[in-house]
Amino acid sequence: MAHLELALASKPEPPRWLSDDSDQFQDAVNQALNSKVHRERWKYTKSQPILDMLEAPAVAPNWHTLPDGVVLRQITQDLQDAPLQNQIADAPEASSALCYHDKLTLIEASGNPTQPLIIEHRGHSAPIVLKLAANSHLELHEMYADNVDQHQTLWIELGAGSSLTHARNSFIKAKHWQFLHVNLARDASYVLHNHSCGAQLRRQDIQILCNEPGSNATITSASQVGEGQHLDQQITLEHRAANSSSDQVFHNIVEDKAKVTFNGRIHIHQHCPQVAATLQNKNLAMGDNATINTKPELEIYTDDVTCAHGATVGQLDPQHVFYCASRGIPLAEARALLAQAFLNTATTGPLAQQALSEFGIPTSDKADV
Amino acid sequence: MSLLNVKNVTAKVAEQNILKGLNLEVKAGEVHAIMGPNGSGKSTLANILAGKPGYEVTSGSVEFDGHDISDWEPHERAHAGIFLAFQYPVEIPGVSNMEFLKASLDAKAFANKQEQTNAAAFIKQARSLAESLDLNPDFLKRGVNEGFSGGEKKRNEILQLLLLQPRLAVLDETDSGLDIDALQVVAEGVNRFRNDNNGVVLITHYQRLLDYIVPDYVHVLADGKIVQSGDKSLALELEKKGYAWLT
Repeated sequence: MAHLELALASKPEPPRWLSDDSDQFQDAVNQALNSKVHRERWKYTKSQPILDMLEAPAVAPNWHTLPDGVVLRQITQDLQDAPLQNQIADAPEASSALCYHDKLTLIEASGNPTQPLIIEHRGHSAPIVLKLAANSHLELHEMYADNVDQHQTLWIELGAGSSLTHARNSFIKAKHWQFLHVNLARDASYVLHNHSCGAQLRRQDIQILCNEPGSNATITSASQVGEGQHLDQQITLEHRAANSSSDQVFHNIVEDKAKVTFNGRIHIHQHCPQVAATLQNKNLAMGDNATINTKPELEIYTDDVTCAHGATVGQLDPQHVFYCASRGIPLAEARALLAQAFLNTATTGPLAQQALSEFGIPTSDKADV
Repeated sequence: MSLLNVKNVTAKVAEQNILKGLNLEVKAGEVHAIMGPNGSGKSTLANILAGKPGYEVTSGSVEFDGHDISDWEPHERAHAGIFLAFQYPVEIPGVSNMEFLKASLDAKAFANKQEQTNAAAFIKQARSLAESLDLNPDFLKRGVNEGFSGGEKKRNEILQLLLLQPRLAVLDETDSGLDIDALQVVAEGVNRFRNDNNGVVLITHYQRLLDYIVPDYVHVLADGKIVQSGDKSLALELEKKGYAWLT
């Protein structure tokens, strides 16, 4: 079957540290863009509108006040131990994004700052590389201002024994592509609290690599996708070392005429015993014309591992609705209450309150009892 | 005037006829115990009174406070003052008990054009009720019945009963799965609820509960009909002789 050839909007010049040969780079990107694996990943979201966004000029995010121990630099030259090389096959668009920007933002963090690092994106951001030093601990808040089309590529390197709590609230409704790539060293810990609404087009690519023993990744995600909106979440969790672990929970509310795609892949490589990985994707359809495509995938090449995955697509439990009704809560209110409950159980972390208010869930009743 | 008047009701669930001409009249101030073998229609009666979808009254009428409520939605029945304590209360993670109770109270107040309970007064009342039922008030912060033991779920049903103060309480095997201490706590709660203006329909398998909640009437339900009625002594007789002699 003939495919429409996907291509970058214009020929980007890769920086020398990324590739010595521009044509070779181009070919590799275009080949990756048109590979079978890649087409599968973009089955339910058109990639061309996103490729077309890569060329747009970057807008500097609002960095607020940098916490102690966090240094930010705009760099143009070579990156030592860059996490960015050899990413073309897995993330051709993200690799290309690097080429369209003459600068990238390198954030180096160390120590144990008490204040969070806040990144407030205001449009297309130049690629960001965040490096957290060994045995350091950081909280990262990512937010999005201005309801304009935007894309971000964020590459995170977690040093041995470090931990990052990453809270991300994506509530803009324009076209939005978020690419996130996390590398974990020995005993590093990564926790993502992901909250979003649907959008004209929202695509969230999350690639997490547990590269060394003892590394651990946790994702808790809640999304509310309204009528006519689109959300596509593509998650890859690579376990490349023994004794690494991951837990992922994704709750999505899908209103009538909304479209949600979820693809969660756990890949446990050879010779990685004692890996424990779980993945749960629950989708609540709130209308007869909601579209949900979900595919949890396990690829396991080691015997001695614990793995559980599951995906559900359902509507509100009639027993729950009746229980509410029997206490006097009318149908529409009961449905809203139960939908909120579903989101609430996956809304966590430092930006949870803000996310709940974006979801329209009253938080004032949560006064101390 | 009777509070509840079930007149010659037949009802079906999933195309199966379960109730086959049931009559039951409950006046204010009365406690009626409904006993009977498995599959006799006890829980169907409870669900018919609460208006559970899928339970269809095919003939006869169900009157509450003089109104035929057969076509009323479950929440409208709750607003009018009918309360069902569930045999298997559901767990709703993500909604705290406190939020759920407040939403229930507010919905009822709104429907009845009453003023909403002040939040501080409500919290105080809910905490004190929880304590009186031997429930740690921290339960109120947790999801509705989330991770509760069977006994805790039943006590939570009684907490809701005491807070919502309905006119008719229908308790569907509230004693099942309770140890003797929990049974006494639940019974004490129901006795606290009883007064001259409300009524209780107590569905149970065992006479044991009736040692603590003394009924005014005991009915035996078998094959969708009430086949025997009497006072509390009937329950003792059933305990000795079983149901076989009646059916």
